[in-house]
Amino acid sequence: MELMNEGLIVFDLEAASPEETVSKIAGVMEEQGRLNDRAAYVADVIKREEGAPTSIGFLIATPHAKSVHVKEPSLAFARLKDPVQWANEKVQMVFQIAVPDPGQGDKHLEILAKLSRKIIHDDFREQLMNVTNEKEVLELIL
Amino acid sequence: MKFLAVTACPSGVAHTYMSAEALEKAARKHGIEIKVETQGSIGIENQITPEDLIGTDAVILTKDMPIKDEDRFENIPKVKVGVSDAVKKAEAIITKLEKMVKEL
Repeated sequence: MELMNEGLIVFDLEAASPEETVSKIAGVMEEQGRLNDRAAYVADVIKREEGAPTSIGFLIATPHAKSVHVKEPSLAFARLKDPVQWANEKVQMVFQIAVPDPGQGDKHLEILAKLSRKIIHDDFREQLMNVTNEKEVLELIL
Repeated sequence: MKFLAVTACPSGVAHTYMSAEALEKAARKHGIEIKVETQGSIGIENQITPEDLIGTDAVILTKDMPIKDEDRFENIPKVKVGVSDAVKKAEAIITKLEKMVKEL
């Protein structure tokens, strides 16, 4: 199964809080058969956020969990209709990651490592803010 | 000026690499040579060797996870930073360290 596909990309997501954002994106993951237990995965992600929020500035957050409640390694991207307050930052673009625990090899993790590096660069973030369809997102990320 | 850094985070999936890239980007902007080792979920990459230590002015270590082989850096000035800070405030960290090294 691919780490990411067009079904894991959401535009104009409406959410009022980080919790709602994470939960809605987890819903998309669940529809795609990526999770064993949506509620438990969401709880793992939120727990991770409580320790150290993944909002990194530049309107981006990367909520994630390596969890037994994950079935398939997955990367979802959501662009929110309106920015949401996420700890000390505003967030409008979310990369949400689900990785099974124990892991299943390193290929997906390499993609995530590369993506993490890309996020740091202004031109990548600008392109993401301006893409108009799922295909363009996949081309930018994978 | 030459810095080294080692980054690691609890899940080893995202912040390890974001912080590495952010530190590299900020150092380049300041004309500082830097090598960043990542200790993440895909193992150790860009490993800092004994040769790399030669001529190094300072080392940046993230403090969220124990850094493997930290004793390599025993005799080099060190700063420990949160991995989130290294992502968000890389520029400020590099600027501060540059100033610190100049005043040594």
